[in-house]
Amino acid sequence: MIPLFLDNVSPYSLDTDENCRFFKEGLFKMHMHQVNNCKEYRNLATNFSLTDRSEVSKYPFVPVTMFKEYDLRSTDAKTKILKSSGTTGQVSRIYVDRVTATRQSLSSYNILSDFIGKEPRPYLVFDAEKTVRGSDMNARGAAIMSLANFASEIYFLMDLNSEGLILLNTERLHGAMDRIGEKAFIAYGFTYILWEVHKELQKVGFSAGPVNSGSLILHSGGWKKMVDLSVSKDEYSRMISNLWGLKEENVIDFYGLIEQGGMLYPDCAAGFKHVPYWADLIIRDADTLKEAGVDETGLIQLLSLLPLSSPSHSILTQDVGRIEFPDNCPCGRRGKAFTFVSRVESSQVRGCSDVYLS
Amino acid sequence: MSICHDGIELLYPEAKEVSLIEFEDCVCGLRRRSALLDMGVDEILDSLDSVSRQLLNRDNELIRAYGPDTVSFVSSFLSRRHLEELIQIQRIDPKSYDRFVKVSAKKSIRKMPMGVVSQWIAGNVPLLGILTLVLSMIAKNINVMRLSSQQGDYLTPFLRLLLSSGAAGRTMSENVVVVRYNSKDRGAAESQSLLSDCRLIFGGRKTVEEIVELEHQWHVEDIVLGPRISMGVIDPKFLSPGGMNRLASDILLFDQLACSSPQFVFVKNNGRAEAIAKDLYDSMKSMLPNFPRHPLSYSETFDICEARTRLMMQGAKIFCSTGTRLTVSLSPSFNEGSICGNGFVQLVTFDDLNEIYGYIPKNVQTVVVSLGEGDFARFTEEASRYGVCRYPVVGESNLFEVPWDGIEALSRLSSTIVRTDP
Repeated sequence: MIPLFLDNVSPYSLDTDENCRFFKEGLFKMHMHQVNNCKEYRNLATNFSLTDRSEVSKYPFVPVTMFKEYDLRSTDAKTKILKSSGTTGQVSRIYVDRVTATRQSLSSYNILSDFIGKEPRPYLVFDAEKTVRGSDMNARGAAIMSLANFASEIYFLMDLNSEGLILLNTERLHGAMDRIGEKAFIAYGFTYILWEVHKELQKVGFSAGPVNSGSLILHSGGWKKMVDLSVSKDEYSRMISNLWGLKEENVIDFYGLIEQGGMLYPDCAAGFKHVPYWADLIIRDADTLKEAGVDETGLIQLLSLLPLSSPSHSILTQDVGRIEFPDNCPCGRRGKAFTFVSRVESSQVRGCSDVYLS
Repeated sequence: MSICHDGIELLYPEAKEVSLIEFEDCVCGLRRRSALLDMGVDEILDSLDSVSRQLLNRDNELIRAYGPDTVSFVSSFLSRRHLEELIQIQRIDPKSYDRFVKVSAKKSIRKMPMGVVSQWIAGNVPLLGILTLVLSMIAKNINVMRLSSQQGDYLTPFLRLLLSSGAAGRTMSENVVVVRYNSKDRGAAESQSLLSDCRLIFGGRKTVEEIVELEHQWHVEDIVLGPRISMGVIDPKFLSPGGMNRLASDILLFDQLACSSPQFVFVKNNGRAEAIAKDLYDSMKSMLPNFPRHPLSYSETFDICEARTRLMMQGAKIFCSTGTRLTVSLSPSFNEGSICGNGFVQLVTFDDLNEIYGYIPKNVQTVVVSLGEGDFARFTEEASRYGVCRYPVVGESNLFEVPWDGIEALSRLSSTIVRTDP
């Protein structure tokens, strides 16, 4: 079995050597599992010669776009399909069997509890309940459910109308706030949706009343639309926290990809994202693909020991990031701390060459 | 679309920032002169021949900037012998540039310039602008050359050489304006477009589409060169010694981003395809020092990783560098989504030429060919029906020639006047 969690060890507490030893051992087993169970990954792996002593950076990675082109699965068991939001066209399809789903759920619980504590709280969801229903799930649904383990009660605050638009149900929001009273709550919304809803609430002069200062508002889903709107992360957090009378740091952005469910990277108090010991992150230099040094930007490669039903344990993202600390973040967490910098701008052929027209 | 205007950088005849009105005045002023039209084509060819020789002088700044190989190609292009051959290939009587020339018992023709020819030069092919400028000069046009911000100003040193070559060279160079402006400066681009009687456009799809759509005079003649895709067809039995290195240079030149860069090569299956792929990889590797590449963007890097993974997942054998610099894939089938330039070539084995035709893309330009005599004739005849425009020998894929893209550019840069003789 591929090792996953160590007893009584918090996600960000191993020293570098222990962390490295644990992850390398698991990664080789994971690699062999995928080789034995996924034909496409096996084809890929034949171009690499690896042993259990190989460096993590030597393992093959699967660019995230491959999950849009291929049905990459490494199990014959019954699976759910997670789908990306598809903002840029085709959608990724990620196969998740029951065992993997359990591993993902445990992983997100362990990660998030390190940031928001284990105490169950009322959970406000800035989305429609329909988003989490059905046999297949999209990125929004998966992110909503990753926080469900922390919920004492859940309030879906939006409705899907007949045209497929999601709209805030203000009556339900006020009702939820009345019931929550002064208890600390958690709230979640997709980054863009949360912004739109709060712009609307700001416009109508919404007042949340007295809110427990320990309440947290989480969001994820990428900055593409916010960049288009020229909204900075600081501006984003300020606007939303002001509306609830909370501190800016109570608005937490977390990074994660549908291709690697269960792996969440929330911002710590110092503003950085952290890698738990059952995962790793490599920043690849553009051009050379070498591991970039601390403070150098590059393409983000994410590795994790979670997925048993698809070869998504080592993926090359279309995101650019930077390692801020190889270990010992000022927030006290150990392991790599990084920041997300931007999405990769799509390429344009620079010369007079062209794409193939069949 | 909004019009933004940041100013035009005039590089020739003098270096200064000019306003749109000054730029338009400068070009319109040239229209009123007739000295170029009064010159004989012989004088033009002589001047260019003289520059051709001067270009090989080691002190020349173009050699220092672009290296002897590139400049020597330009030099040979400008030689009188080559230009005469080029005129002949297009079945033009050079005397028709100077006067009416009888073409039948009752008919004579005369070549007249189009007027103002605007040229948008691609940034990725150094010195290309000199070649197309020369074609337009032979046709006695006024030329407005817009250089890309990605490239240095190589035209001014060339025009200075021409200027110093004698009276004819002076007149020729006086009819050229070289400018550079921001590619987003629609005001400047539109102004240049509206001044043009002919627009000669090199570039990628986006560039070409944007320029073609600029406001223009109704009669404008557009000569669009690119965007295109190129390939190779090789029977290893007929690849001459050193042929693998020449194929490698075809692939690596211009970062493999030119319309004439082979992106995939069909290799006749002789039972040692893997060894051939390895040979090509080794040749490319050995030639890397001669072909410095631009630093890749994240997107280009991702595209290469994606294409490699896709091909490997499909079972292709890959020979690649640890970074992104070189990739040679070998597989029995071709993957059209895995074309990314920057030193990435797909080798696809074939047993029969008929297997290839279906893979020739609609936007094909060049096929470098190394085949036996019978196969060569058969292949070029059949592949031409699929749109192939050029069949250079291995090693000459990127050498600019006319016709290019199936276009006899020299003919298109003149209007042809017909006269019924009494």
